[in-house]
Amino acid sequence: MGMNDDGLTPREHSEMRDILLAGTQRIRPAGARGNRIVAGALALVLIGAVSGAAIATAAIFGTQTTATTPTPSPVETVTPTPVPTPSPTTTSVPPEVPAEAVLPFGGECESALTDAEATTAAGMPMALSDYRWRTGADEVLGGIDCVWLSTEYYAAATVKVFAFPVEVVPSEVSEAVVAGCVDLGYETPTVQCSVAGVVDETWLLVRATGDPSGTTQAGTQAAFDRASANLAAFPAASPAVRTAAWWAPLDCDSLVGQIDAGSYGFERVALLDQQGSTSDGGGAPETIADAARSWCDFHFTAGSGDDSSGEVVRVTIVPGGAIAFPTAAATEDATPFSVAGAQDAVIVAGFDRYEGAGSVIVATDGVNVLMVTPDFIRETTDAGPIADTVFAQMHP
Amino acid sequence: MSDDDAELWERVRAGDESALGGLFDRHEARLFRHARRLLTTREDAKDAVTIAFFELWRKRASVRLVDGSPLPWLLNTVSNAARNLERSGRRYRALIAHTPVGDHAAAARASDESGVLAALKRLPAREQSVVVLTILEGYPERVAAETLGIPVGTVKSRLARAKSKLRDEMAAMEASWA
Repeated sequence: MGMNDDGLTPREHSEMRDILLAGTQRIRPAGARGNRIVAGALALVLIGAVSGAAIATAAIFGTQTTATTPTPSPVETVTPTPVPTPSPTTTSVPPEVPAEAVLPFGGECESALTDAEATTAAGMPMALSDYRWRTGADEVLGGIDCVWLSTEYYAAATVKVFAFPVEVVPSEVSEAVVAGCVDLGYETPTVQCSVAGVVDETWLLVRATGDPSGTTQAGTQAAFDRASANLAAFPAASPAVRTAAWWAPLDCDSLVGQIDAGSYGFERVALLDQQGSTSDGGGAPETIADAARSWCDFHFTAGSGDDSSGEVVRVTIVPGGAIAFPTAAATEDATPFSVAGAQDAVIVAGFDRYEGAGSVIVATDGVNVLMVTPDFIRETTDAGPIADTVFAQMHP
Repeated sequence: MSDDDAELWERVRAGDESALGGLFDRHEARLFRHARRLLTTREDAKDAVTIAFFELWRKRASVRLVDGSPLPWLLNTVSNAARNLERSGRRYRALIAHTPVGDHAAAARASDESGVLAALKRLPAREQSVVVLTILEGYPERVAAETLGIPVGTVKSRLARAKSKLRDEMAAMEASWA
């Protein structure tokens, strides 16, 4: 299930809360005599009570149903799905020293908005939810992509800030932004308010999503104004200059022929049918970073008929993305790994900002970054031979 | 988030039931989403969440917080409650002959097209817990270890075993679809 799926309705939330609070009067702490019996009996009552709505609650526990309690609203879930796209930079003559990108806000989301300012935009307490680590795609483009999530109610609201040099923002993205607030059409009233503009050659978008009672155009505008002022305090953003050492985009058709399906325990490997599809749509700001990365989905299969099986492995590269490799190596669960030809490699948890994700092999030659993501049910190390093969095929 | 959790938790420990309501408000949505992954029916998911909070209240003297938050403990307890409910639910449904079995199967497929979650539910509790905490919920292995009261190395080994079983389950499931 994703964040958009139905949560509890306000009524359900209120009913469950009532049952919970009423139940605390009956439950003695663990260790007290007979508490297991009480808890067990209560759980049995509960099964009927939760399903039976507030009237049953009041009848069972002799309590009044309390007033409404704030309830989370479903919000837009955005899981960026990369699309193979050539690097936007075309400079063919490498400089003596590779020119690094200049990132807006100094590359720190905290410098774009404070939690309090994001709270103003969403109308409820918010906190920054940063990536666990970075792939280098934003960093290569000279951009930043920040998310604040509601702290008191899970997934009730989000505030997003996108800031990228104007020249790397596709027109289909900038033109797709609808200024103002739009109803997202969810069962629970949810609006998405957007304010975008260009500040010092940097395209800036502030987008707040949440309950219309708290998420407003005025609040979003205030956050945009604040972020604009903060942006002006930093050097103008600019993308990295491509060097001769940057890898070319992946050639999936060529690559699939190099991969030994047997090394991954299967008989065949082919490109997945949905290659290149994106759930965000071409106009979503989450797709801006696609210009800096390319990927292939390899579909491994074995057997046939009743004995068929299959798994998908995604291979992604970020030419020039090594600047962000230390963020992966520094994550809490990072495990050193070995990829043939790589200067350094680690296995780390996925970098999703909303939920968990399977682990990824991240390898670098000191300039570029390769990521290999097997199915989460697979031991990540099993994908080592695939990483070895792909790494050997990478070239400027 | 954990600072606020810690404050509420101190009050829960002192027997303040309104603070339990505060924790419910903060974490209900995430726990309900988690329960919906594991249970076929919406009502069972609601039950699993409520049972977890009852257990939190009952065991408030001994619950193991991680980084100041009871959320990992609650997630794990929802998993346990979901397993029990699913088990009793299967028995219950088996008694109701006129209940169309296909309805439940359809609901499961709708929310779990790949069948991974169905396979997850068949894992032993100790292995399901590490998959839920580390992969689905994204906690570091250290947090999973602290929540479950086991060494990090055990988290790793259980995760490896769980993945192996999930692969076998998925292979069998795919074969059955062919």
